[in-house]
Amino acid sequence: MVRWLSLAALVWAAPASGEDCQTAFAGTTASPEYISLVEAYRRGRPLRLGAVRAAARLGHEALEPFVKQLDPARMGPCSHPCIEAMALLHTDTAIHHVENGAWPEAFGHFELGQKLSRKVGQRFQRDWALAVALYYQGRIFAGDEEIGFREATALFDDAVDLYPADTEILVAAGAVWEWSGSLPRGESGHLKRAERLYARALEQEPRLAEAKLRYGKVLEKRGHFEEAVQRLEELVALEADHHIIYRARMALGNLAERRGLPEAAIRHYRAAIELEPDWQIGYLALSHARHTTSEREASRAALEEALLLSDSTQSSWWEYELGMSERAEPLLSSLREALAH
Amino acid sequence: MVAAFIIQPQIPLFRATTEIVQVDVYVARGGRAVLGLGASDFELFEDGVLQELDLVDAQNIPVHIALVLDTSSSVAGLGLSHLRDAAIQLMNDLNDEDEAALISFSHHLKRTAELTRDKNRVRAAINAVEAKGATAWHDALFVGLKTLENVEHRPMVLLFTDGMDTYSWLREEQMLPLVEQSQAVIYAISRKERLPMELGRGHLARDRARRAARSANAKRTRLLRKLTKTSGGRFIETDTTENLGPIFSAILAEMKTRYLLSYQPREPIREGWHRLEVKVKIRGVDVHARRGYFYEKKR
Repeated sequence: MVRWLSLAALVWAAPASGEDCQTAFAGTTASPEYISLVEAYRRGRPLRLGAVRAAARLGHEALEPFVKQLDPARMGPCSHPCIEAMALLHTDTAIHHVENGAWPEAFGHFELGQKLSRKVGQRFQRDWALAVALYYQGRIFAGDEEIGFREATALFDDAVDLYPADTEILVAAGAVWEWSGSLPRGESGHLKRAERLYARALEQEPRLAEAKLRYGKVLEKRGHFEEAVQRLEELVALEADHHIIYRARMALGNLAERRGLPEAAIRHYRAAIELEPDWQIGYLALSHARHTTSEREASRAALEEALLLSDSTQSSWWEYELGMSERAEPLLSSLREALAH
Repeated sequence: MVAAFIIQPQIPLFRATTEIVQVDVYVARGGRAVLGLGASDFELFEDGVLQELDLVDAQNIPVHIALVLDTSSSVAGLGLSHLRDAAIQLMNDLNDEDEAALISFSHHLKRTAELTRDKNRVRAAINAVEAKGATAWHDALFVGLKTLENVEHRPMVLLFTDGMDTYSWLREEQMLPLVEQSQAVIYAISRKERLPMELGRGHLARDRARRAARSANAKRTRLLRKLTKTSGGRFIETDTTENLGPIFSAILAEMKTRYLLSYQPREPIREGWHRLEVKVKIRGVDVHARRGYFYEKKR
């Protein structure tokens, strides 16, 4: 069993950059076993997996006193790859626990990862916060709705405070509140919160397509149809990613239907289908719009096209709902890879 | 319960001059079907006007059933196994002339069996369904209704879902007009939403989540009740998927004991919604019948 309590002294020792972890932490009170785990993790695959498994075997009871002692206020600056390795080791250990349904154990490791991440460079700190918040957001769609939302919003709140002009963080944070506010049981305050975050992102970067799309969608969800149409039409005029333009077209179609303009809706849905002919929802929307205009045969034909398409994650609204959560793993991977350099 | 429709092959709604309206009615006392009624036992009012009725022998008219089954990830495991068994049993209970289609849905919609008399084809499709993804029952019900759009007689949708709809394109308020415009009788079975488990980190958050889940469940069931009642069908809520087999079989038995009332409207039919009211001249019975029908001229 690793002697966790001795680790606190290791963190405060602020090792010099460039050394390996064994050398860097020599003479500290950190346990040699723990330093070995960190060093193994830092060296990369295949040792990394073994280090995570070994860390995961540590009980929550053993970790908790250490987490309490790791007081950021008492820690000086100690940027060092070994500290980054520690932060990521605990983050991966937390993920390992989540995948085994052991949330209480995971919380302790995430907490430790967060505290450690704040002791290193700002880039690492920012990417860690975004990656883990996105990871939690992803858990919402993996069945851990309550925990995922609670933890993601808590992390995003911190990240937005720390990086108020970071458009990626602002949009990602907005997506979580938008998801929650869009649920049948959702609170309208959540949509307002999303709207504010997207608006802040657009203040920073007025042509940011993802923020424009989401801002328009939230305006629509809040019933501000005219303003939503204006924003989305601006987006369609931009040369943006065609996935985003597809969604803007779909949203414009939906808005047209809500405003009693089925022919305009049909035009938007057809334009959307041209952009993404393999995505099912465009045909379904077209089929419904044709149905409402009493074009029953055309409605059925569109539906038949929809039913011919195979399942694809992108083809549904999934991707929009997931927000940027699929970026969590690539972000964590790039942090891991950077350890070796 | 009632399916009201005009006998006009290939035409879902009314047309021309000699429209006949058929209304599918279920009469029950204490939850059991009341059998042996004649046309003179019924009174049917269209827009408040009493109509002259005939009773069609529904026993020999095949049922056309669209099975619309939730195969999202929340059904995975034993739930899916129960669902498959129940659907297979339903196929076994159908007559040779009855037709069935299978629509399975998560956030993706699949019609894995077209409307067919070949029950083996539907059985094979049932056995092949897998559970994954999110729930989009609004969209799936639309597919079910469209699948039955050109069916002349006794169309019915049997919808099973166990989750709240968060991924449909079609919004809640778009569902009622679709049901009003369809001839199909809709039966919906829903497994109650499971309340969030204890996850630690505070009673307040947990209690809030449980209240939210209860409220969401109530909202979902309200919509399903409204849609099924409008169609003349019924909504059944169950705690477990274990009893889906008996529920499916009971629904089919109910469908088979319905009365089919037929009449030629006394007034020329105008476009739009026509309110229906069906009464039975016997005390103490429940009457399930479509609340109206929507007529539009073919464009």
